Amino acid sequence: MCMGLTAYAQSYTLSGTLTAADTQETLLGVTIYAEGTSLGTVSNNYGVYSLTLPAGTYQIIYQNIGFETKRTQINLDQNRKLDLSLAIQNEELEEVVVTEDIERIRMRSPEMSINRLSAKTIKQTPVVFGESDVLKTIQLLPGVTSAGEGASGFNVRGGGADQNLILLDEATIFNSSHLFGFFSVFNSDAIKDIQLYKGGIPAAYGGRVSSVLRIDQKEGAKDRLRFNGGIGAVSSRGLLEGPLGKGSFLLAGRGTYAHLFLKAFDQPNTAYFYDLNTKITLPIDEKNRLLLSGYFGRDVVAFDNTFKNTYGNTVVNLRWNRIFSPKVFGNLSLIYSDYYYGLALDFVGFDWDSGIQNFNVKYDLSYNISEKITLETGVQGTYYSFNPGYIQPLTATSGFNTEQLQNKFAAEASIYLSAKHDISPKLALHYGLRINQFNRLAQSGLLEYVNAQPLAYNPALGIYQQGTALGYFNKAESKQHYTNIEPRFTLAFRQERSAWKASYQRVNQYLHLISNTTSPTPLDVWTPSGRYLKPQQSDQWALGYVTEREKGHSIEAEVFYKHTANRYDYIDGAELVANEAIEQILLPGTARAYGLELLFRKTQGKVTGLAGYTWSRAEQKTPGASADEPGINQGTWYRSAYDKTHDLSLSLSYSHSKKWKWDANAVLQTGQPITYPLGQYEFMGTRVPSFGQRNGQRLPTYHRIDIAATLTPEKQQDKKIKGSWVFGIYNIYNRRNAATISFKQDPETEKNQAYKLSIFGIIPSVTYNIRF
Amino acid sequence: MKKIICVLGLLLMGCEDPINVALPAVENKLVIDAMLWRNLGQTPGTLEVILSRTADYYDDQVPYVSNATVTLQQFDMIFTAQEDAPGHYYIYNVDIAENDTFTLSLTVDTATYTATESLVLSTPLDSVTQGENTLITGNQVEAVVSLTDRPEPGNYYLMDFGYNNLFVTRDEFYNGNQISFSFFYDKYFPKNTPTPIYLMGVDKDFYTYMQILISHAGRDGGGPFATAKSSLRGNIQNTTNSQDYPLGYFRVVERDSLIFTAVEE
Repeated sequence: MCMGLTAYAQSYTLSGTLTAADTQETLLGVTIYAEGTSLGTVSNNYGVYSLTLPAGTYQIIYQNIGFETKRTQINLDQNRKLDLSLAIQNEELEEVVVTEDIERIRMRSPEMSINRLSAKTIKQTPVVFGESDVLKTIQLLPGVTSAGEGASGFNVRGGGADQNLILLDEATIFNSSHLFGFFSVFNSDAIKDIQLYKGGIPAAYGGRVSSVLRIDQKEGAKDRLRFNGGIGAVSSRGLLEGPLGKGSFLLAGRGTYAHLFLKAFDQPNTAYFYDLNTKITLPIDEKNRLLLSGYFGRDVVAFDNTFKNTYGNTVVNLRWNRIFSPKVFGNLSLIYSDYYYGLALDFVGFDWDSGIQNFNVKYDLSYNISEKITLETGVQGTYYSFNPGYIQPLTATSGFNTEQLQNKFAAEASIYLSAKHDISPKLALHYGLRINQFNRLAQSGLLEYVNAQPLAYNPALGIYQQGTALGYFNKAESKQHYTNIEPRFTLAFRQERSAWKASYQRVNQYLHLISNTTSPTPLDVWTPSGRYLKPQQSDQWALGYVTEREKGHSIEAEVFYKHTANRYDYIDGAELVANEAIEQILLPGTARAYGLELLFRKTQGKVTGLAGYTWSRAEQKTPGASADEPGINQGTWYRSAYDKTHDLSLSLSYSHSKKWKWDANAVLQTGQPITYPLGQYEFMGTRVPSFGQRNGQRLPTYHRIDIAATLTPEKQQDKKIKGSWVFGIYNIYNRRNAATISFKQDPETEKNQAYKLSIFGIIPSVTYNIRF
Repeated sequence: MKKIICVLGLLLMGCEDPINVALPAVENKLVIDAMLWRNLGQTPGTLEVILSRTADYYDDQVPYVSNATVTLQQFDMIFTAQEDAPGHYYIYNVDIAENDTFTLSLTVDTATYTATESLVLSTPLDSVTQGENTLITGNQVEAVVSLTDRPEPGNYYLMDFGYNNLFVTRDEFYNGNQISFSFFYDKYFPKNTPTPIYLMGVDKDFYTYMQILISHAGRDGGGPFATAKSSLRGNIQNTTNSQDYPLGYFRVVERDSLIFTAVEE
């Protein structure tokens, strides 16, 4: 009978935009629900919300971590618009805040395998050199690791660093690291919020099989001109934001000092980076808003006059938000993104430029149909241009010829439709489909091979050799297209204080990263799928359980299994850089990963923090094309370079007083896989280690503890200009963790020796931060 | 391009410490280091075959293999090598002409091994001089080498700078041109001592083999930028038992050399 009543009752929609009370910055991820019901929603990435309820009078509750909860009585006898500001939580009161039903609403959301972090959390996490860092912070979460200390990028659930879709204000970032992974490219001052999807990826995202890391930049304060900045031993940064007409602007910059790694050597060497973030928000009217975002970053590494390496990302994105009606929200994005890599080698005499460019147009629409169903749909078109390398002589006397390696082009179109569907107060679903078509566009210079085999196995010698080229395809034949359908599905089944969740996803990845290392150094070459390289296709199943206890305690557990087809690995000794025919060195294989993740969180009280544990396995199998070929590692499963059986991390934050705050991290991980020699042999007078099974051994266990203390002098606290000190110690007991172990002759004694490379010992840091 | 990786690898070399690592059991394999070579533009050449076995990684010596039968076939002529020192087998005055094929055969105990190759031409080493540049740590000796690439595309070269310093290069980006590049010796390179530097023409397969070997030996800078490691197979077959493949390579090369003497700066 109740059901009948609900079905026939008139429904109305409550909608609006949510902002922070002080800066007027829009707030995403705010939970909005009607007290005493199971009906609620979450504000979208632009701070806009739309909640449909049966006609009636409700207590509407707006809740967001770090903000004071707001309660409003609404008589919903017609569609209503309510824009609200939430006040930042007074830190003194943090421990007495009531959370009530907020977590129940969260629990009921079918989204799983997602971690959301606010800029505040990132800033509290102590990291090396005292710079807060997005990538280092997400590596504390279960299921997220890095290939090794100082390695760039991150690995999610046994996936490669190239399998992460990294979006900065919706624009793709191809390289997430500065200075070989010592810093990430994201300036945490300019960041509002990050969301990491390890699984259960909504149909709105596609193109990378492992994860989506979505980073939203701040829009800039609308109330007044504000500044904050910091001066550290290694880097400095500054951010200026304020009102601009009816809108706002943000401009942030960051840089390291040139001596970073090389001060120990008495040489005119430099290694530094800088980056700029900017955003302009311009409301046109009540319903339309323009947002312009930009990022520009460069790394420069130069040794004496012999070598100069410059690389970085550039991103520009223009977005147009439109509120069509209280129920319909749309966003158009026009995105340009590129990654540039340049190298000048004076001692060889040439200059090498390479990169990838990408133009992207997309439209996303959400439609809050009823209290039970919200539809999301969108289209996306991307044009890619790949420059594998342009080589030119540095000087007139250099023997190098000017040469352009064959450029490659591709276009991708996607369309998706998904629904968030509340079946009953206990059961919620989020399901959808994404359809992709990837077109490798015509090019000249694509080789055709005997038996269509770019890689031929020589059974007599037991090695792979380059296939026999027949000549070049004509331009029309060099094209190739792939069409794929990707189902996405998640469900949540809620009980009193806990919920069961399950998800399945299929994702295709059309770009392959050709990198000769286990982690993406800047020497990365992206290459599109085509006649020879098939798209990577991944299926992931996950099952989760989440439970909430009083005082903001929560425990989350998930198990997952992931299978990825067409994961390419390189034949031994492949030459990857400036290779015109990359298909001659790659073998297709299968990757699989499975594991268990546990996360315990405490979000309230004087001591907050999280503890994460992951047990997992990440493996690859690369058989040859036929049964008598050995492929790689005799066609058997071998560990991925970033396989880590156990990964335990702990992050704690303690507010001692208004004056002092303490933060600490502890990390304990299985050492990363490595290949040890089975012996040695002599060739041309050189002692050569003879290697066995790929990744058959492991580095020693990795562990370390970091601490940081923030001092806000009391006399500063009420001043207009607020200053604070951050004192940090990374790796407090100076553990010399092995980044790798290499085997070679001692240059002096010529004896064979194993060498451990450790990158960071104990590193103290001091940063002075200022804000007004 | 390997050189780039070398330089990046050096960036982090300061923090390397020697450690003791227990290693898996030795895999016992025959190692055949066989080179048939002639000097640039001259026909008579020499076959040198060094036979040894794999050894425990930390051993100071590898065991040499004596009393093997080593033969070289050219057309219908078969020459037999003499063992001049333990494990070192030689045939002198072999007439090496372009396009001749040479088959190396070896019998060790009861197993027979063979490989067939033909001559790869080289080009003159134009000059080698001492440069003044150093890399990051500043103790190296720079040798500036100049060569003129052969006019046709697709040439590969192997250089032996002495003291286990091997280097491979290909003409993809400098075809037919004169090219200079620098090689950096470590600080232990002896001063005022004449060192012969060899330039050899090699084929693509041997170039690839040497590139991997140099990387395995940790002489390309290594460190976090190294390629994945696994067993390295050459061009010699075990015709008795193909599963028990030997390590090593048989190549027929032309070579040129110059003497480099570094002076104290």
